[in-house]
Amino acid sequence: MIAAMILCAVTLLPENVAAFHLQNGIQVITRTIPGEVEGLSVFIIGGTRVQSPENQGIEALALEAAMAGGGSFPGERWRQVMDRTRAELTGSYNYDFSRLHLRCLSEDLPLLAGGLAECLSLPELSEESVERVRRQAVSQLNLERVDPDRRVWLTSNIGFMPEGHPYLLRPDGTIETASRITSADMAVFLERRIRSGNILITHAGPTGPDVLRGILENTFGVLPEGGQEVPGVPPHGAPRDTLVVEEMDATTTYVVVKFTAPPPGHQDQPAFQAAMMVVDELLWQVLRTDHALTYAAGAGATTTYAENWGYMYVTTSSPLHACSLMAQVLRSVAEGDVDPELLQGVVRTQVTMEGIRAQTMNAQCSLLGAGVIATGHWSTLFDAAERFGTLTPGDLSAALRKWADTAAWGIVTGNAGELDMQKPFPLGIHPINEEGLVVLSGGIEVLFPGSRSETVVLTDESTGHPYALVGDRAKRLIEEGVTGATVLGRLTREGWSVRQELPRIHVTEVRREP
Amino acid sequence: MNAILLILNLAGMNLNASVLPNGLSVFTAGDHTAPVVTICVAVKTGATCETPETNGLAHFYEHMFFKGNAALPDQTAYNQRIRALGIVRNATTSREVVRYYITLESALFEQGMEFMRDAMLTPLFDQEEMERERMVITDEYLRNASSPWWNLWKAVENTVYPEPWRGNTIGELSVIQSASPEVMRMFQEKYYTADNAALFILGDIDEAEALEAAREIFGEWSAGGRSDYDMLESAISVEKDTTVAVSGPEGVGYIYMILEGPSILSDRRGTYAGDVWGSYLNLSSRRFQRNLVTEGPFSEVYGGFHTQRFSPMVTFGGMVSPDRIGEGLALLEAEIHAMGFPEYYDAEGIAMAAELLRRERLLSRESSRDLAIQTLPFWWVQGNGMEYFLSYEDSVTAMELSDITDFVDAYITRRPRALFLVTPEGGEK
Repeated sequence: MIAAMILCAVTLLPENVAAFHLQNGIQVITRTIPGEVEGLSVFIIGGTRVQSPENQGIEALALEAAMAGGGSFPGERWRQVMDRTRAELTGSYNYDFSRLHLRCLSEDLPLLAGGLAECLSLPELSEESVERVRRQAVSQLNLERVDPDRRVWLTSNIGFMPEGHPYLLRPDGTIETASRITSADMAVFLERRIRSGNILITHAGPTGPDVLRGILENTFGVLPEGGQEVPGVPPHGAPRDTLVVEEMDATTTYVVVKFTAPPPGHQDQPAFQAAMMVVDELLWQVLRTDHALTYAAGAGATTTYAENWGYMYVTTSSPLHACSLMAQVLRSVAEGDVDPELLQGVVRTQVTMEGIRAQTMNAQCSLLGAGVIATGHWSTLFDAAERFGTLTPGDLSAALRKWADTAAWGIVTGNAGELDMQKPFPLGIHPINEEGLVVLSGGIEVLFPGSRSETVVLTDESTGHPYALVGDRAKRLIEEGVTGATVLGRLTREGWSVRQELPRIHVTEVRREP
Repeated sequence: MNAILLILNLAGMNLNASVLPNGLSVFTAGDHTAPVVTICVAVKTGATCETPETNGLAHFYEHMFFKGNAALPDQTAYNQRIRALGIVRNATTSREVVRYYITLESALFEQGMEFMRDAMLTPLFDQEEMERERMVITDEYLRNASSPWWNLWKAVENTVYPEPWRGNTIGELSVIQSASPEVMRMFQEKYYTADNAALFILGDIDEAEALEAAREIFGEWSAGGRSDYDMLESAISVEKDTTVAVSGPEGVGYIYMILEGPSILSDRRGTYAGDVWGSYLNLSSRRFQRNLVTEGPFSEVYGGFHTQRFSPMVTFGGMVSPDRIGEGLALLEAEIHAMGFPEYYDAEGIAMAAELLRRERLLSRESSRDLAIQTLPFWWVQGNGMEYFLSYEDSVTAMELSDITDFVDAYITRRPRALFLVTPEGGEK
């Protein structure tokens, strides 16, 4: 069957993308790009969401061990094949999926795809390969433990993610789990995971869709059917500002602050992502250019996790000053102080970034697959520049105000006793009290009263920001005809408001009615 | 208009090479995969050119590239221009080369070239901006010092570099703290001249038009003739067997061994043999990897020849748990002993090793950006021009077993080595 070509209506979307399903149901997305190098990515969907505290890291260990050989490509033969082709086979493991990526010359793709499929479906899991993988994992985890630049991202998670959240599990495992998981555990796990319903394949390179289909049908097309339901991901985000400090052997201080971001496909996502790129520019300008507080400062937003986050990062010898400026920068963007020149710069830079990514098959495979997993559409991650081009500075501010609420600060430092920062800096976008409740005070307006679009809006007098109030207590404000109040509540994504761009507050208490 | 002097075939890609009247080497190649172009300037300088009094200044200079110049008065204006052009940029300082590079939409190519010229030719070295950058570089130094590998890096510098500053790119804090605009200008006059640099333009461009733009925009760069780079002596020396115990992270053991390797300029054949030998050692189906990793205690291991103009090294390195470091070292020593004999190698493996180097080059062509900022500048510096790189494929293919054993005999078997053992106990063990 000839693959159905997807023609791109939007000019910036890549051309020559085709999608088809193998006989066992595995979805394949391929982009034909002339050249000599092929990229083939196998996504196994689930990540830490299908792991537990007791077996976290098992998928990474099992896949790494499986890639040592299997089926008609036992270890010795598979090593010969990999040597002869000089192919690269790499694994990356995250919260929502694992990805095995094959990079090779075009002539070797049929052989290597066949070998990879057999390694996954009929893994040898020899004692030597399992122990080698275990040694590698433990070495890397030991290094991570003492590397403040890697450690600080985990430190910030402690305050950011509620206990039991699947993203608190480690895709690479822990030293304890990596030391304990057996080859029998791995075999059982792979038997459950390597099934067509859990797998997505993406490809970029010169091989056209029809030939590719022939190659994959005979290799991945015979993997067993079935699949595993992947549990949903609860929202993260701390109920109040948090600060977690970790002391380790470091000669400067590492800081990461995280906050919630729109999930994939959400209408606010382009604006939030662009806003964080503006914040990135401003951190460079303010922290590095103006104040020389840091060598490394940056900001951004994840875009493809089931639950995303925005982040800011800095290393500095003056954490108090640096963190204060980080919060100020974020606040300035949220409060509408965005120079249109900055937004134009973000659009232009994104166009360049997309051009750079178009040059490597690995990046193309990653974008195609992550887009499908995040939203169901391969094109999701290809049109950011185009979407940014339709935004106004006000859109960026509104997105930050709506999503960036409480701040989860993680700090790794060489001398916690002398740390000049004792409590978290509020991002200050939403005024929050000691209990983690948003406290708003100001005039109340009811939009479209009595209609299905009826919405209660409170404009906070201290910040000037409007909020949509939702929940039963908010409805009672309408019934009571209140025109001004101090209300307490929590940020929520539940409920509905006619003004979609406003952050929503689930009202729990009305403390004072002026 | 300048003629393209030479069209070089780089694994099927046409790489146009030219030298402008001022001595600037220019390389251009078209890649129309995406509407972007990468412009890279490589300058022959780095830590290897420094003295104790200037250790860290090549790197400091690289930071000042991103500051004010004659066209953009300060870093804020510079940042704005970067945004206006959608530039993705960076720079790196290594021991033997400093590279500056930008990527931007090909429609803005000429503006990108002018941006690079202004930064390269007319830096202001404003005292105030230098004061601020001093603090930035200090933070970079402290970040490096927090790395789990910092102690190993320092041990290597102090052991195999008779002049340790030539192996120390980040430099000394005292030098960073006292750097002045005057020493920056001295550096500029000596090394930042057209005849000591190369310009690489790869991407969605017409090669001839790109060369013409290079001539018009970079033609005013003075030729210089003051660089001592090509006259520098070797930077490394391992005169006797030395073992250094290095303190490392808990739970991590690492064995690292360095021997002096062949120089491209004095033993070109040795360098080809060294690369084929290293490629052979990294075959996972042959005994080095099998005995040490597949069936041995290492979680990963490598052996190879590291091409460097002034510090060519033969190195072995591998991660092993601290409680098995003795076993790992004994096995590694046994392999090193055995690789001096012809029986260690098989003909098929040697052919495969040479073929892998050819394939590596094909793979390196995937991204013209990577070619422009990594592969081509590296080889231009190491080979003192592109001829070495362009004859590389035929040369490695011609290597035979006797070349490999000659290499091992000359550079490994009978040569002293510096051995670094990284364990949590370090020097206490």
